[in-house]
Amino acid sequence: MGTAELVVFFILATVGIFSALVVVTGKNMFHNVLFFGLFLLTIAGQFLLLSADFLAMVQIFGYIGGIVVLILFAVMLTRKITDAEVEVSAGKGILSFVIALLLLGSIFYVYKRTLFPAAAELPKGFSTAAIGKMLLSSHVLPFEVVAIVLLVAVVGALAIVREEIKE
Amino acid sequence: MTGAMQLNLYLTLGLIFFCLGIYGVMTKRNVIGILMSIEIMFNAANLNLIAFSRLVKTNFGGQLFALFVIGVVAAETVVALAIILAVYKSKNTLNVDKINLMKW
Repeated sequence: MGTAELVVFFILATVGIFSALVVVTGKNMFHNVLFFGLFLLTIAGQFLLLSADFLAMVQIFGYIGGIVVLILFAVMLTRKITDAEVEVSAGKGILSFVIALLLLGSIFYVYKRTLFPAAAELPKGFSTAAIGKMLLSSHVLPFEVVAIVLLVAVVGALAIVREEIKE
Repeated sequence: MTGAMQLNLYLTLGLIFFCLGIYGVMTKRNVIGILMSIEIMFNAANLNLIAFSRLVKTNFGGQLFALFVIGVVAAETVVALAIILAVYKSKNTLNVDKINLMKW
């Protein structure tokens, strides 16, 4: 990792942490969803830095183009944009903060003590062709299972919403 | 910069994202906000998977797994949003403290 990549990493990390913080603490749901999209974009940038180009594209098309727009629809269908987020009681907020901080500290401690075997050399080139070959040869069963899961989810979602309309 | 240091950077970033998600799940009172916090945690896990697949065992298994995670997350989000819309129609609120249909 050269200096330029390190600079890009830290810029992406800073923007990512900031936007995640806005998503978690922000009061306006509409802005939260937009910052959630920004957060996903920085994750896609990190994927590119890790030379996972196919995953970065899936992140942008599938996640930002699909899921964020879906959540945006749900936000606009269910509440008025002017509605303020319900306030969190102070005691609960502090307790949650302490729990999250404890978790952060303990996991950090655990993996600081762990020795990971570092890779000898980093492979070059694009990952899309290799992933496509693996998806249709050695990993064809999970691939099909995910397809069925998605189909069932779509049918289930339609069934849940439709039942409500009929009444 | 060695691979191990690089891996530590990515693990720390993923850990920060994960704990932010945990904090959001515990403090948010809006169902959609909780859903987004959970998705932040999913993305932290994905980031770790890809960092491991690149920096520890250099094959594409980790990327493939992250791809399946994204697929399952998409399914989960679709069902969750359908449930949210159905609940909003019957209760007219998204505050988790007010949605106590299944509370005895």
